[in-house]
Amino acid sequence: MKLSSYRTCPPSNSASFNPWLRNPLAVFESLFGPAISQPSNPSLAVDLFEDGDHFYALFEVPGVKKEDAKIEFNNNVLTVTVEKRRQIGDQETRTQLTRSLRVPESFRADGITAKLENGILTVTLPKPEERKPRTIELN
Amino acid sequence: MNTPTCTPTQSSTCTPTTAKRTPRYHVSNDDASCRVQVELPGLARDEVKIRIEDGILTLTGERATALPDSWKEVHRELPRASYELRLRLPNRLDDSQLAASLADGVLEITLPVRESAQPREISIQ
Repeated sequence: MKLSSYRTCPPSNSASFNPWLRNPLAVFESLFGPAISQPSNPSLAVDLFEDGDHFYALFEVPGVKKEDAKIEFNNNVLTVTVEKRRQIGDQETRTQLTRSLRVPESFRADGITAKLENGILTVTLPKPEERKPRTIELN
Repeated sequence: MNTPTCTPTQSSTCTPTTAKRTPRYHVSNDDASCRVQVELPGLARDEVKIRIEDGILTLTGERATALPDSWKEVHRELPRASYELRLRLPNRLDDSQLAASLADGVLEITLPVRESAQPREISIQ
């Protein structure tokens, strides 16, 4: 077995970071904090989406089997670790990729779900009640 | 001896700014076949097309399934472009026997080496 590491494509364009770097009040900044900005090892890129009730983190993990993906939530940090195995002749190559995202304190571990489909890992984080959009009635 | 039988026309580089995204791929060979593994995360089987013309294999893939309308983009790192990969196939590979399968976002293409191009020993009469 040989252990090797490689980097995937860097973030598609750094421009996508700029809006929230410029605006500290941007939704993203206030919810996930600056810890996400540039990981020390940018090997597992992520897309983040939200709707009224959930946050969604999408990772590209081609060739990764369900049993080789690990999702941890500890001290408000969501860590995704995957291991890619590739068989070349009788040699197996393993590559570990990881990514951590800081999640606001009000998020709780229970209710986090994950799905692996066509090489895309989707982690769903339910929003705490107080972060859900609401309408305030005027008296 | 393990001579490379597949000759990629280009290397697997990151080109996130162009409209097409060259997928990461790996080539492995033995005496009887050539195996190409192409990483196409997010694609379903019917979203991948393989075309062979004049000894060039062109692979294209486009994500047809859109994200739910209710999802608002918060942060984006993954390239959104469609995939394209072109590989020159050497003559010794029998492209009429190409087999391809997609699993876990990886397309595996197998091309057998033509019988006439396989190594053999000739006995002296």
